[in-house]
Amino acid sequence: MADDYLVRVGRRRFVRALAAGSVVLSLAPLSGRSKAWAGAWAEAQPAGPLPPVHDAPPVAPGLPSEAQIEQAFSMRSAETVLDTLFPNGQPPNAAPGALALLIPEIAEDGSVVPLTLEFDGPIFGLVLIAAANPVPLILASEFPEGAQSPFRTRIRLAGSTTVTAVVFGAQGPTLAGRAVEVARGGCIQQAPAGAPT
Amino acid sequence: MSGSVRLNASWRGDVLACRLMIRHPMQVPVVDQNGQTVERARVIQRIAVSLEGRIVFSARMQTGIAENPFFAFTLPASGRPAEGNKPFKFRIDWVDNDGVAQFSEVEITP
Repeated sequence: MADDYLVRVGRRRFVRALAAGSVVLSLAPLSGRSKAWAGAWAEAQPAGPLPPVHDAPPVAPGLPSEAQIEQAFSMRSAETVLDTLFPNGQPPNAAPGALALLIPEIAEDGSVVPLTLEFDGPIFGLVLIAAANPVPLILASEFPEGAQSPFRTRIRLAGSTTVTAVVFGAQGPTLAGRAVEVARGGCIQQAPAGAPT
Repeated sequence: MSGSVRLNASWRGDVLACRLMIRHPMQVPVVDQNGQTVERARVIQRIAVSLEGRIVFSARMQTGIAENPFFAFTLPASGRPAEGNKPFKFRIDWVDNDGVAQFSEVEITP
C-alpha cells in the first residue's frame, strides 16, 4: 500500500514529505508503515491557505490540462470539446461492462437530470459532455488521489441529446455515451459570455 | 443566495462515501426576444474539496450543472485514521463567476 501511495503522490510533494518523514518511516515497523507515512505527510504540509487545485502532476495518463479545460468551455459543439480535450484523438469506447453511464432515458425536466457513473477501477478524473447544451462541457473534474464508483451528480440538459462521459482510469481515458430524451429543456438561453474563471 | 455548504461522509466498507451539496442558484442567462439579457449567468465555476489538507476532488463547471450542485463520490481512505472516532477535516472551496469565493471547513466523524 505504501508503494502504491508513492506512485500517486507527485514528486514535489514526495520530496517535501520525505524530508519530514524519513526518520519516522525508517523506525516504523512494517505493519504500521503506511500509518506512519500518513502522519509524516500531514506534518509536512505547510499551514495556511489551500494549495492550488492542480499543484500535483497528473496522476492518470491523458488528463487534460487547465488550459485545455479552459478552452473546452468556450467550445460550442461536443466534437470540438472532445478535440480540445483530446488533441491526439478521441479516447476509445469503454469495454463492455467497464463503464456505466446511468441516466434516465426520458427526463421530464431538463433542468435537473440525475446522473450516475459506475466504473470498474479507480477514477482519477472525469469529463461530462452534452451535445445539445450551449456550453457542451458540463463538468471536468479530478480526483488526485483516486475515487471509486459510483459518482453521482445532477446535470442540466437543454434538450434531447447524447450525454458523453469520459472517465480517466489508471490505464487512461475511456468513453461512454447515452442518448436522453428531454421533455422540457433546462431553460438554457445562451452561454455565459466571457465568464471569468 | 450563496451560502450553505453541506458535506456528509460515512464509511462504506473501507472507503469513505461523500455527498456534497452547495446551495447556489446556478442561474443560466435569460434573454428576451430582443436579445437583451434579462438575467445574467451566475454559476459556480470551480469547486475543490480537500481532506486533511490534500485536494481529493476538484471540479470545473459552467451552466451544465443543475441548481444547488450536488456531487456524490467515494474516496479511498488509505493512510487515514480509520480507527477510533478521530474526525476527518474536510475543506470545501468554491468560486462563482461573480468572484464570490467561499470556503467551509467541516469535521466529520464517519
